[in-house]
Amino acid sequence: MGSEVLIYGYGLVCLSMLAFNLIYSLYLRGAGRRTRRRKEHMAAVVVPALSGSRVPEGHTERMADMLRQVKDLLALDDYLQTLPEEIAGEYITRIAGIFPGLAKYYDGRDDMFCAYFSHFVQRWGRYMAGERRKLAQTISLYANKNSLYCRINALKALCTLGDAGVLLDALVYLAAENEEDFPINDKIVVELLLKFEGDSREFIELIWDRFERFPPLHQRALLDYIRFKSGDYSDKMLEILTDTGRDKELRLSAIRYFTRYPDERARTSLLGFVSDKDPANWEYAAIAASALAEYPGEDSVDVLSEAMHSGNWYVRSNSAESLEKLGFRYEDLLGKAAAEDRYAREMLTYRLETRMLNAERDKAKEAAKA
Amino acid sequence: MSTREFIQLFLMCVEAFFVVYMVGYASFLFLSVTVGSSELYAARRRNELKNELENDYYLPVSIIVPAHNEGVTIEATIKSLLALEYKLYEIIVVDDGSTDDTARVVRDGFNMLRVDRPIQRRIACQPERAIYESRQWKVPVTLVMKENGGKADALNMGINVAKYPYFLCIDADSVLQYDSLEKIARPILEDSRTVAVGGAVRPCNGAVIENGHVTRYRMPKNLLASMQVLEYDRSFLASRILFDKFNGNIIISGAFGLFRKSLVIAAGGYDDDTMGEDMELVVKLHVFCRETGTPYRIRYAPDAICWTQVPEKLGDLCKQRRRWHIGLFQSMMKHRNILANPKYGAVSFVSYFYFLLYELFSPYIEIFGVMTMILAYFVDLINVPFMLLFFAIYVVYTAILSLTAFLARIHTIDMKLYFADLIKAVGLCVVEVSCLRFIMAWVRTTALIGYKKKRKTWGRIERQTIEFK
Repeated sequence: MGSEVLIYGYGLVCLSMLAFNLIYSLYLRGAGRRTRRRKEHMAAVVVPALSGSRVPEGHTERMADMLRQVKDLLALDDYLQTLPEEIAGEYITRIAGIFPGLAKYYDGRDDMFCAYFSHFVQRWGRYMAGERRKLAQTISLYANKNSLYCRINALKALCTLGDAGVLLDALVYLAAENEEDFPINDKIVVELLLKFEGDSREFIELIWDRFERFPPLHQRALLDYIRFKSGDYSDKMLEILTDTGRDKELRLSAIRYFTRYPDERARTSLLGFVSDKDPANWEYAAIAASALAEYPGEDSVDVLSEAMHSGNWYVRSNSAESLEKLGFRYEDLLGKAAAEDRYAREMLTYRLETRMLNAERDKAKEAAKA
Repeated sequence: MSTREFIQLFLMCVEAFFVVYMVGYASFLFLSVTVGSSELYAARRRNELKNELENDYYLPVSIIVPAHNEGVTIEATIKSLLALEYKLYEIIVVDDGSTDDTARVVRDGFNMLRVDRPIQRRIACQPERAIYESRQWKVPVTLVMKENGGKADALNMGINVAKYPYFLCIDADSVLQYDSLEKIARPILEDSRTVAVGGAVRPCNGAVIENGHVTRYRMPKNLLASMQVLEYDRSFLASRILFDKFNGNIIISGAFGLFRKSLVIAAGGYDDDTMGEDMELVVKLHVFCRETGTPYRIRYAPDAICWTQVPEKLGDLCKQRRRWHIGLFQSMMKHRNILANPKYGAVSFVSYFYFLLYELFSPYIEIFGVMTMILAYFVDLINVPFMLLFFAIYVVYTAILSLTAFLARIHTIDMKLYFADLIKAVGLCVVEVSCLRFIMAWVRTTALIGYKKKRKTWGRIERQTIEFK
C-alpha cells in the first residue's frame, strides 16, 4: 500500500506540472495584449507632461508612485523609445527628482528589479543631470548584489552617470569582495569602462592612484582601458613593462600599449622579449614581435629575422608580418631563408599565400560592390 | 528452503531493489524537470527585464567541423555557420579521409585555394594531405584534408589548425541558429573560470531554417523522429540544467560544444581510442582541473541552439544508440577512479553515479526486470492487475514529464505550437516511453558485444539534405 501511495503521489505532482504548463500557455497568449495596454496607459499619463514649461501638478508624485512597479518602468521605457530622443530626454529631466528615491526603493527589492532599474538609468541617466551624484551613490550599492546581471547593469549605469570616484569605489569594492567568487571576464570590464561618459582624464588619474588595490585580472582590464583612451601614460606603462615581478598579463598589456603608442624608451625591452628563446616566454616574444613593426631600425630587423627561426608558430608568423611592415618583401626574405630553415620557409610561403587570398577577397568585395 | 521459497525470497529482494531504483529515478526525473523548467522560465523573465549580457565584446572562436562522407549536408552546415550573427570567428572543416565528394563540395562551393599552411602539431593526429583556404566570405574558411583517423583524430587536427583561444566543435550534419555562438560564449564572459560550455541540441527534421532563423517549426512527419524530439527535450532539459547547478555536467554533446583550447591541449586533446570522445573529453577536463587545482566551470547554455538531423530509420537509430552506449561505457571505465571519490565531490556522488546507474546499467536492469516478471508469472507469484497498473502509472508519469519538458522548451523560445503537433506529442510521448524505450534498452544491452572491433570508425546514418535557405 505504501508504494501505491508513493506512485499516486508522483502522478499527482506530474498532473500539477501539466496544469501549470497549460495555465502558463494561456498566460503567455495574453502577455502581448497586456503589455500593449500598459504602454497605452503610460502614454496617456505622460503626454500631458510633454508640453508646456512644467509638468502638471501632481504628475511627479504620480509617476514616483507608479514607477515602483517594474512593469510600469518597463512601459515607460518602451514608450519613451517611441519618442524623439530630445523630447524623451526633456521629459526625464523634468521628473529626474523622483529617481534617487526610486533607486533607494529598488535597493530593497529583488536583484532582478534592481538590474532593470539600473538598465533604465543606463539608458536615460544622462538626462538626470541634477541628481547624478545621489543616484550614483545608491546604484553603487547594487554593484555588490549577488546577481551578476545586477552588478553589470549597475556598473553600466554608473558609467552613464559619469561620476569617476563612485564608479572606481564600486570597482574596488567588487574586486575585493568577489575576487574568488565572481571573476567577471576582464573583457567585459573593459567594455563597461569604455562606456564611461564622465571626464576620462580624471578617471584615469584615479585609476593610477588606486591601481594597486585591484587584483591582476582587473588591473589588466584597467590597463587595456587606458590604452584605448590615451597615449599619455608612457612613464607608468614603462615601469610595468620593465618590472619583472609584475603579472605576465600586465606586462603583455604594456607591450600592446607601446605597439599603439611607440616610445623609444621601450625599444630595448621589446628587442629583449623577441630575442628570448625560452619557450615558456613565447607570448612575450610573439606580441613584442608585432610591436617591433612600429620600431624601424637595423636592430629590429636583425632580431625579427632571427625570430623567423623560432620553434613557435606565432612568433614566426608575427615576425614575418612585422618584417613586411618594415618594408621587406616576402619574396626576398623567402629567397634568403629557403636555404637556411624549413620553419622560416614554410611561414613565409604561407604569408605570401595569405596575401594572395586577401587580394582575392578584396577583388570579390569590389566585384560585389560594382 | 524449498525452490519455491527460494524464488519467493529472490523476488522479494528484486522487488525491494526495484522500489528503491524506481523511486530514485522518479525523484531525479521530477527534480530535474522541475529545476530545468523553472530555470527556463526564470531565464525568460530575466531577459524581459534586461538581466542579460548585451554583447559588445566577442570572444574569438574557431569552429571545427569534422566530416567524413558528409557530401550531402556539409554545404548547408557551412552556410549556416556563415550566417551566424557573430563577428570574430573562423570555420575549419576537417575532412577525415572521406571517400565521397565532401572535399570537392567544400572547395567548389566556397571558392577555396590550396595553401601550404604550416601546422603547429600540439596534439598528435594523422597527417594532412592538403589544406585549402578562402577569405572571400564573412570569416576565413579552411578545409583540411587528412588521412582517415576517426572523429577524435579529426577534431585534434582542427585544434592544431585553430587560430583562436576557444574552439567550438559541431557535427557536419548540424546547423547553428543565428545567435547560438553569442549565446554559447556568454557563460565564459560571465565567469572567466569557465573552460567548456555545452549547448542545446534539437532535431531539425521538420524545421525550416532561413539564414540561421527557424521560420517554421513542426513536429517531424516521421514518427521515429518525432519521438526523438520528445526524448531530446527531456534529456537536455532535465539532467543538464540540474547538473549545471553544481558544476556537475560530465557530457557535452559532440554536436555542439565550446572549449578553452589551451586547457584541452594541456589535457591531451580528444582521445581517439573511445567512441564517445565528447563525453570522454569533458570527464577528462574535470579530472585534469581537479588534479592540477585549476579553478574551472563546465557550463550548459540552454538558449544556445544547434539543429541536428536525427535518424528516421530504426536501423540507423539503433546504430547511433549502440555507438553512444559503447562511448559511455568506454568513458566511464577509463575514468572509473571518479566513482565514490570525495576529491570529485558532486561530480562523483551525483553525476557519475547517475550516469552509471541510470544510463550505463539501466538497459541491463530493465531487461533483468522483464525477465524477473516472466519468472514470477511462471511460478504464479505475480499480481498481474497490479503489475499492469504499475506499468500504466510508470508510462503516464514519464510521458507527462516528457510533455512538460517539451512544452517548457516551446514556451521559452517563442515557437508557435500547432494544435496537431500538440496532439501528436501527447500520443507519441506514451509510445516513446512504452515501446521505443524498451527497443533501445535491448540495443544498448547488446551494444558491448564485439565493440573493440569498431574503434576509430565513424558512425554512419543515412543523411538527408538540410533545408537551409
